[in-house]
Amino acid sequence: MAPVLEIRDLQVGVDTGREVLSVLDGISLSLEPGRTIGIVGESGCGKSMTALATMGLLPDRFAITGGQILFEGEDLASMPDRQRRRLRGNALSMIFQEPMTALNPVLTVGRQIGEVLELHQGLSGHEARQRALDMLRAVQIPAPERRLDNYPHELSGGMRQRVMIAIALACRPKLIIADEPTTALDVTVQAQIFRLLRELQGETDTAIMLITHDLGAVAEMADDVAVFYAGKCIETGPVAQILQHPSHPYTQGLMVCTPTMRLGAAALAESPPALGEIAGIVPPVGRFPKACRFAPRCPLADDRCRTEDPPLRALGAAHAALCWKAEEEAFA
Amino acid sequence: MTETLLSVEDLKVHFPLASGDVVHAVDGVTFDVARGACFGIVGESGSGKSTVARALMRLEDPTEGRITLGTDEISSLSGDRLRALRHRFQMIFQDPYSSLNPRLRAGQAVREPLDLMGLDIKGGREQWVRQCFADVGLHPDSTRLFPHQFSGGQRQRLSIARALATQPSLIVCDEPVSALDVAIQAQILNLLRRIQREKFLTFVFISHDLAVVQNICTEVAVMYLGEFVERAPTGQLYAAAKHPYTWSLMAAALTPENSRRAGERFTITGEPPSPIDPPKGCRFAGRCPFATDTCVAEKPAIRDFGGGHTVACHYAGELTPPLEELAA
Repeated sequence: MAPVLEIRDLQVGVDTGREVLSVLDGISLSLEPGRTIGIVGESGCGKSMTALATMGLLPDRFAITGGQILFEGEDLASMPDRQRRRLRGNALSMIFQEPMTALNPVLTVGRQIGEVLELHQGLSGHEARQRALDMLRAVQIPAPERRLDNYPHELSGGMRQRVMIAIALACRPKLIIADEPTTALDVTVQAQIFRLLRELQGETDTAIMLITHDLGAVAEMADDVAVFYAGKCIETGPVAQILQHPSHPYTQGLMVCTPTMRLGAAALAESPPALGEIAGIVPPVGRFPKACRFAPRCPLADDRCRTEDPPLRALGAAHAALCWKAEEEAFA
Repeated sequence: MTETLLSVEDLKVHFPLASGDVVHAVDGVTFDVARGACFGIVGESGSGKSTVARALMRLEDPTEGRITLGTDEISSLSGDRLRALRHRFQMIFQDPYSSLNPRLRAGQAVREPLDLMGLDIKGGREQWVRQCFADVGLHPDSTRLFPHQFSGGQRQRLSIARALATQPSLIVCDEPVSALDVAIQAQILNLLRRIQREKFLTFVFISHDLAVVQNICTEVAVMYLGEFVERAPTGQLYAAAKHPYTWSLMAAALTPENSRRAGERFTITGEPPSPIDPPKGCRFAGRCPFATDTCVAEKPAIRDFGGGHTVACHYAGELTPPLEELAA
């Protein structure tokens, strides 16, 4: 199937006034209709920048400096703003982490959902309101007729996130980028939102790019995974492969430092061992190490890792890692 | 070994609103914490868990109930008499960005409680501050830096150093790792575990994350709308939880090893009701798939299931858990 989104060797830089520092370096990934890709990594690894570059919402001073972002075959990176605006909120939409700041506080939720429909689909005010009501129903908001005229502050966090999803889905987009959509929510509400996203995805065949720091969320939602570190995509593959046989030492590190809940008889075994650790912190933009960027924190790094760029090694069907050691690890 | 350090009896914290309504943030919780134990409180936003933490620290005044630390009842003290005890209980906050004064150097931030409480330390305060830095894995020379010059993880280490400075016996941790990335979270959790063991500290540990709580706590209470619905030693709770709300939290917790899909999970609907006018009967009844008329009408008693396992549910022990690991 033809991918909805194909990012090829994307480069993003930030202009500090003195020099242009590399923020994203050679990101490539592809996403088919109806599938979900999870983008994981710590803060400062470039996950959100990839999302913003795709949406054309990079902050001031940040710019795409190379590569292509192909959306249904058309390059978003080189597309004029006017054309891009026609896609955004229509075929291509985004769910943000904090619904309180992403929603307009002085417009009712009905108005905000209706707005995208009037703008992109030329609906009249009355039609848009009717569709907004349908959308509130679709995202399972109780008493939707009453909620239509509510302002964001009158809703709970979980309901606001549902409204945001309603806005994002109103025009039946081909691609949704969800940037930490449940991080601000409680776990029981998170479970509801994930279930809702999957149901709606099943109905519309929308592709989802899920940005998260939570490997548990990836296990729950994603078909494929891309692990980011210091502006590079260091491992990609099917979700089961990545979570059960991580090959890059950084991915392995993320796995061992995530506490996992043990239920039943396993919980009565001796007290849980100390968590694994990845020493040090993610290097800031402008101070990415040469050669392998993870080498200074990597327990396996040797001289070659510190002097030569690691190759992208194929480790099986659709599974690849940017690491000198990956092969030995995978077959160890 | 089982000497009780902290004892909380029927703690209530109510906040009156201008409208005349009252927010029942904490509505009667009772627990003891043994010296050297780590008592976890889990729950969702609005459950009142942070208010319990703040009441223990006397940052909120209890409306009713008693809090006893060692032999001192701290819930009724104020002014100088409270200040004289402050060095024995300290707090670590969630957000290391807002809980440190940006204009104080790191060393001063750690030293400040010693100066304010007039605590003298053998070898001098300055030397002690450097020792505290070393204890939490910060370079002693970083005492001259300002908070913004530290990373998020280092800043949380700094908060821990400040909490340790007065040599407290109790540390209340309110979501101490929630704002941190997973790799940093692991570093800080391991650090907390190590200093607790080395210094024989007692922790009250507030978190929304069941996996984190299982990793560090010896006993856990599950809080919902101002009340404890279930409480047990950690192993017992995760092996044989009996309250439907605890089940729903466990079912909703995501783990990378276990990719159960959202559709197959036990999920509850809706969101917690308002603490302004909490339901008369069981507070969870409105969201509980097992609820009956009895649940709506009558408040369930806290029942003891042995071994320190207590549950506030009319049907505890009779229901089949919707999680196969627990049913086995």
